[in-house]
Amino acid sequence: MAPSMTCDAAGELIALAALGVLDADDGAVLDRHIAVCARCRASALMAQRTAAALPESLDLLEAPAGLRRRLLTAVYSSAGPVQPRRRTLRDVWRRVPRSRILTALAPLAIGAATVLGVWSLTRTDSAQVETFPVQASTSLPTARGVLTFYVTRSHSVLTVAGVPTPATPGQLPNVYEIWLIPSNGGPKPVAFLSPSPSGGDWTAVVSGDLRGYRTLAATIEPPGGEAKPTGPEIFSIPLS
Amino acid sequence: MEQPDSTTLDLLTRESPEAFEVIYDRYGRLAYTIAMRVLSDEAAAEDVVQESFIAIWRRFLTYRPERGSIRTWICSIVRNRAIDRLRGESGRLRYELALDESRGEPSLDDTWSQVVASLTRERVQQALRDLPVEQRQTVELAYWCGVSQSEISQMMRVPIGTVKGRIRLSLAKLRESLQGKEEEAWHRP
Ligand SMILES: [Zn+2]
Repeated sequence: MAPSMTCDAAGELIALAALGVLDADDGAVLDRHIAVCARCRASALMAQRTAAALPESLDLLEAPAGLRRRLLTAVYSSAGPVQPRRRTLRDVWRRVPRSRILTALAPLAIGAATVLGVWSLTRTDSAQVETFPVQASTSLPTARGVLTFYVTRSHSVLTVAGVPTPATPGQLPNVYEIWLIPSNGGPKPVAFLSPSPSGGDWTAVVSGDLRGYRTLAATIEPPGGEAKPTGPEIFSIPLS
Repeated sequence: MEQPDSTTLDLLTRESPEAFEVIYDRYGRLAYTIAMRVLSDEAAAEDVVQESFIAIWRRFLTYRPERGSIRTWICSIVRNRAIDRLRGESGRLRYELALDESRGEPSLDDTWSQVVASLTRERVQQALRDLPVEQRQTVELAYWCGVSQSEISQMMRVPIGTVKGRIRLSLAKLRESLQGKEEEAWHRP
């Protein structure tokens, strides 16, 4: 049984464990041994540290730029593109620290978690901002709002009012997906609009530089969004 | 191998997107490099890094500083996901060492802190190059490909006991090389 396992046998398991190829059953045996054997615990700690140095041997590659943009879009809108359906609005709201809610809600009267997330990021950037007004389309003439581009931070915050909750054709509601349309080429999916928990404003955060794009547009898409626009446009924002 | 940055950590515990951005900018390249090392496929590596960082964002609160640096935590998440992708998620459950870094022996910890501070890419590459080729291959198959001891035994046509011996010896030698001095026989009880 575990305590009677020899230190020599434990040493073999420690090396395998450090490299991540010990199965769970042997791992449980090892756990019981190192819980009572200080010497093997110290060995295991050193083996763990040694293995942790291995990634240091790699020559670093450049990660794709689109990856950063997608991740930051997902995080700032708190609706990851990988599994957007798992997160409810309540979850998003719960993520926002109370102190930040209290600080930000009163003066700004903005409820969306996404905006709160960005608030502290952008508050120091009073200079170097550009704003672009929303142009409503005939399919949603009530839409109004503004896109604020924080030039030095390469982030934009879109705040829109007059937007109804999208229809729920199945178990999940449709989404408002945001696109950037370059001067040349097709629309790129960049964010989803998130509603304020108290109703009213909808917001989205768009990562990256807006220069080089001629238009931002929003469309209605099925739950989880689409890679290319399929639904009706609800508004657009000329960026030139 | 830097220590957790306290400001970033503080932000992490408050689940701030800004902290996420700092973390991604600091470790995104390493994460992608690890995924590419395991998968050798750009699209698959990109998927794995994306999934890993979304998981990191959702699991900020599960990070335990006493079990190692943020860097080590992220490397482990990315490597495990990449290996799962390579080998299929239906594989056996893996056991992971998760020892409390703060509970080591003080004298060893001081030595290792100096080692970590002086770790460079060249130094780790050299330590790997200094291993006998069969030991290096064994370590790389295990660590970067998640290949089990019995599979390595079949692939390299050696008894499983030999595989175990190589793994154990190679880790001990790596540690010695990184520390730059002869060590007590911690690996040879
Ligand atoms: Zn022991």
